Amino acid sequence: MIENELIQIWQSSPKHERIKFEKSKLMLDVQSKLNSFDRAVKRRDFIEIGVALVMIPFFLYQVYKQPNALAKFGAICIVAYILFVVYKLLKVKKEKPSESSSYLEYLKESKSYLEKQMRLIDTVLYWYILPGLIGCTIMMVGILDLVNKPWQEIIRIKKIWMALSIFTAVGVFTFWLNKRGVKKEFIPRLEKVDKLIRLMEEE
Amino acid sequence: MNKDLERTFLNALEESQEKLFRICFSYATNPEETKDLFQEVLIHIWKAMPNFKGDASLSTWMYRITLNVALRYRSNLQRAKNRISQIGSITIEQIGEHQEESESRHKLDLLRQCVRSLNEIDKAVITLYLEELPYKEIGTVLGLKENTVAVRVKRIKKKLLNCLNEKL
Repeated sequence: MIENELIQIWQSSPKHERIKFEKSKLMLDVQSKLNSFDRAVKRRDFIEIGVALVMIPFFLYQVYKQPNALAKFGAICIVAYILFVVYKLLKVKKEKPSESSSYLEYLKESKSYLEKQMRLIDTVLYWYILPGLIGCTIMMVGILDLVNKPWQEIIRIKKIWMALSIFTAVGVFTFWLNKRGVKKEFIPRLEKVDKLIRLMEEE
Repeated sequence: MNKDLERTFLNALEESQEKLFRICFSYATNPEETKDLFQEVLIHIWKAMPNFKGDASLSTWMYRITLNVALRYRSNLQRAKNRISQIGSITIEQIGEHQEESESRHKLDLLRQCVRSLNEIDKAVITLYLEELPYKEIGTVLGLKENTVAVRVKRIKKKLLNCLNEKL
């Protein structure tokens, strides 16, 4: 077989199968799919970011309502924490690779995007779990006025143990879920992108 | 404005549909998957249309998007399936074959198998070459130098010919 035959064979596909579309319906279909895709993205963003944002008024109200200064401080910490989390999530979302870049650029942008996402998820303990736990704990200490109670009394308060158990369980589960995501999703994807970049750059 | 964009999109699509479809075929494993990928490509091209700056030709730009979407497609396959239901206005028409055409069909299937067996980079280079894009344009789509493209095409063609001769 000679080289030119390759092109002929490759381009012989219209003899065997043909892609067809109705022009008049296609635009409606494509636009409708794009709309549903956008709606799905908005829904996901709302779940990730919107839920966090709707919690802000609740904690701001606590700043106003709680008589204890420590509880107020805890609520302020939580509001600051929520804003910080939203900022971190929005920042990483902004840096998505551009599909109209060249293949090599797209791979490099994808690598940088994946690395940033992976770093974010890998350090979830420090910017997501621990600050949240600390904020909630400070607020709880304030609400129950634990600073002015002897420790013998504190350890008998069931509410504290329940709250601590819930905080810890949620924290451990979030940590595990994210570590699993890094291992199962991000590392293999990053390895693949890395391999492709190496292949592209080798002469 | 939107009508102009729509006209540009449809005209460009009419001109390049077969080429884009063939590229999709080399990244998918069956006609159904090819159609899924093709429709995903169309959606992404349409979505990106307002940002087309004209620094490359529209067809080059469309190839870029097609390859980038195809690259991501396999890893997101399940997610894409859940997200995108079929676009009803796109169909793949299978054309009835005469005796002499079935041999050419067989060769096409073998060539596609060989192309699919290449790594992602070689696959991208060779599909553009088989679409008869000049080396310079392949370089623009992929972000490679013209010389590098030429060297790679030569090497991949050899691989493909070996693969085909083994299968024939």
